[in-house]
Amino acid sequence: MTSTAADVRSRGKELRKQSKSTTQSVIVGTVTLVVFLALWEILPTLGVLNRVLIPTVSDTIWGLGQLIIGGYWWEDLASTLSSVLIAWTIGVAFGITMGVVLGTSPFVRTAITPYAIALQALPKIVLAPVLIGALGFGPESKIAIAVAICFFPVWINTMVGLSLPSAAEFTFMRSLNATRVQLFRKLQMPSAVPIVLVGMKHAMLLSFTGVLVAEILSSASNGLGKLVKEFSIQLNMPLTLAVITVVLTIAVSLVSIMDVLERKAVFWSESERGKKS
Amino acid sequence: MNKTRRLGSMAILAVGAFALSACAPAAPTEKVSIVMGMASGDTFTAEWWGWLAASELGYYDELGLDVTFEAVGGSGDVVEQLVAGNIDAGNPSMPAVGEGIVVGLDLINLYTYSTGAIFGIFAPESSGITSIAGLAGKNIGISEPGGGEVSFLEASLINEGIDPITGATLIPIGDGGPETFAAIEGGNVDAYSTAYNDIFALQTQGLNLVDLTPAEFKTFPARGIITTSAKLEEKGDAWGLFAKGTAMGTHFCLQNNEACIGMLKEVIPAAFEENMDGISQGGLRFALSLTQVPPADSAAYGAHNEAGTSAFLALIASTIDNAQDVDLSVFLNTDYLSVANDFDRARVESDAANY
Amino acid sequence: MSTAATSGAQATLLDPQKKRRKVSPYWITAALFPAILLVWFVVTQLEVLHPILLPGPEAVLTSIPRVLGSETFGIHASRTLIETLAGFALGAAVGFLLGLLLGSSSVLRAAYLPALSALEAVPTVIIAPLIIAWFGFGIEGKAVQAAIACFYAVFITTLSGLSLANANSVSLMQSLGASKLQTLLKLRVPSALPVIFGGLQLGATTAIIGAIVSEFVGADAGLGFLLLRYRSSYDTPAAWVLILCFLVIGVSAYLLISFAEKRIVFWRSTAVSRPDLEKNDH
Repeated sequence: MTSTAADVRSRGKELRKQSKSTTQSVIVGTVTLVVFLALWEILPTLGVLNRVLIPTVSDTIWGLGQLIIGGYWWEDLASTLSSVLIAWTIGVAFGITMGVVLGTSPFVRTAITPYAIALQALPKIVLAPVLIGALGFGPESKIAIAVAICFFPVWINTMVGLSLPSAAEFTFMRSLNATRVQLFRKLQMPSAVPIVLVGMKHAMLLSFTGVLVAEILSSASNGLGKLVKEFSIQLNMPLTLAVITVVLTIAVSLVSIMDVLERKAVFWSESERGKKS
Repeated sequence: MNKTRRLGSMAILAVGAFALSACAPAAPTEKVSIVMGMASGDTFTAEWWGWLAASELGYYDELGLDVTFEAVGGSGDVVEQLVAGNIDAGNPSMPAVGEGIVVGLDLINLYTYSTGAIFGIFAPESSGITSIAGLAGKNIGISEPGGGEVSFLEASLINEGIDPITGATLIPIGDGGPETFAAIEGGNVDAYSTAYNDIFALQTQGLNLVDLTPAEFKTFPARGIITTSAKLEEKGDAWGLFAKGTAMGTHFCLQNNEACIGMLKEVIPAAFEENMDGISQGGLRFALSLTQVPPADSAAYGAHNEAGTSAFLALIASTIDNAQDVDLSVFLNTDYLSVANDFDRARVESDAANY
Repeated sequence: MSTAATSGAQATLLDPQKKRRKVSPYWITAALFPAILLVWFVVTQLEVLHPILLPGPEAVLTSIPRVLGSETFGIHASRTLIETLAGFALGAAVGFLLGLLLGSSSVLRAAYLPALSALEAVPTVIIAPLIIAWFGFGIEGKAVQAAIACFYAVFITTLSGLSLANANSVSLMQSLGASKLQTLLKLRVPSALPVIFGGLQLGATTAIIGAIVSEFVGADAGLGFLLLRYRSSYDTPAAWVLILCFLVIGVSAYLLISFAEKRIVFWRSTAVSRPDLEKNDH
């Protein structure tokens, strides 16, 4: 389980409070970033950290410049990003379907939990030879690995989200002669959507991890993971860190986009739930 | 044996199905397709250029071949996919092939692409060690336990009368990346045995290493066109053409290094990226491969070194329980070598001069 | 489709105490096992994949004594277990403390959460060489990688769990003059525990993955290392025995934490009766 609806709901209530403290957060965030960058620049320069292993910020920026001038890595970026998005889409669709079909029945859920956990605890990369044998040498196998890694939180959160409304709420809706479809539309879906979004956000991160791991540890003709590995083997750490910086930047952007969606969903969920009471 | 036969019959079934589907729309000018699995996880730069040039220059095309390269991963992955029949040929490094041969996998080398020490033994200049004998009682870094270099290192130590278990300590320190650098810089080890290509990164970071590798390692095969008996049968004469194209590509590159470096840069630019001191490791690796790819006899591209291969396989077998006997006459296939060398050298040389 | 499924859930929700079913769901669990083996067997018999990639279950099962009985298996298994446990302890502790820190300050949360979340997208194998360079090739380096792999699950669940406490109870505590710290320790952490245990369960599985994957790079022992050794000699059935071991370890870890949860969070049914927390539904 990655998060709860209570988190989502209270976050909605906190929003107004948060807007006041936004300025403070920005200050704290900026100060931290500046201190971090300063240490990153100074420690390797002074030799506290070995500069070959941990190049300074300016070295890393040099690396980024080198990458951008080189210009050949757009293909790797595109390959990784498209694989991440495809894997995420499949993983989310699969997770939600599994959550709706299997998850809403506690009986089935209990029966398959051990298998779900077993799959969850398996390092999916060990399946790479099988997946490559079945899917070929294209991006399909890395997408498959990422799907296997990322669908899990969506599935769990869908199951949890659909069973969120309390028994009293069900009774109330039933007393109003609500049909099953109405129950689903008016009660279960609004309460599930925010928490499913939390799962989708986590899935986005995991999909990223999955694609990168597959590119690093398994066969791949291109991708950011492949680049990192190549540069790391060359002990070219400025370029290695430059690629990692790119990965982190994309991840922060994805998280922020998902956060905005999540906030919107919380408002929608609360207003939907408000309508009926 | 039984296992081999089972694998063989399954592969033949697969071949049958494949042949049917491949031949259905047969046009008279239909090209024979060859899927070549590259050990891209290894050092792509040093090992690819002969094949790549043949493909880029259209030599395969001329010979009626449709060659595609697949990045398959490490050498072990290439062997697995070869045996599984998902690729027609591959260039896994010989230690991975040797491991497969001695456990009874059906693998055939029909063209030795490069020869020389895949693995070496090195000591930092500062250690003062100048020979294998000097390794007695020392800590020796290896890439990982069971890494390809370990059997070579152990054999070299034994030759000098050093017991590899009691006479020296082997410590895994990785394959030339940051962790290896830290281990050698930090003095955790006095020497380092690893794949030849792994030391370039260290050298470009200012770690000067003395090469202690024994001369006999230099006769060992490094890479070849590796296939299986089923694929050998399936593609038949196409193998001769593939070997010929590869020989042409190699010959071209040996005449015009710069052209081939350019082709590699085009396809794998990241491998040629310069570090902050302006050194490109792709360049260093290419230079090393120039000592390994040229055949002993320039009229005999792809020729096998039987004595070297035999010694090499014996070394690998010595590290494995229940190693099977290898029939060298099957593993080293010479059927296509005369076709391979039957090409117009003057024409390739003029191609190289006018590129 | 969805309505049929939801009606089941709703029936149970309407009357959670009612035990209408006589069949235990675990019978289905048990029945699924031979079914999976059968599917696996049929797939391998059809030769969709060559056995060097996917061996048949019979080959894997007959390899079990050979793999588990080998002299060094115990050394490798205990190495992986130690790395997992140490990594899990470290990662869970860091995750919990970070969760507490960010959970008690919305300013810190807004400032750091996106960056901390983004770290989850960077696989530890990318930084494995650096971690090894600092912590060495031994247990420490691997445990750190396992810790990095599992901290996020614990961190994020702690964070969301802390906001679970009933708003009325929080204002009650505050009106009684409880400090922020007291509210945190006496009210918010206890009510977050069920969720945190969910995070620990997830974290345990990711710690196992982290430890095994860390042994793929620069290791000298461990089950992940052993898996690579078997693969390098093309002994795929033995490699699959290890994959089965990973599955068993994962399920055991999960069950252990479920057991601990029942011992520690004994008040759960009274303190928090929320269907969303009843992950296991038994």
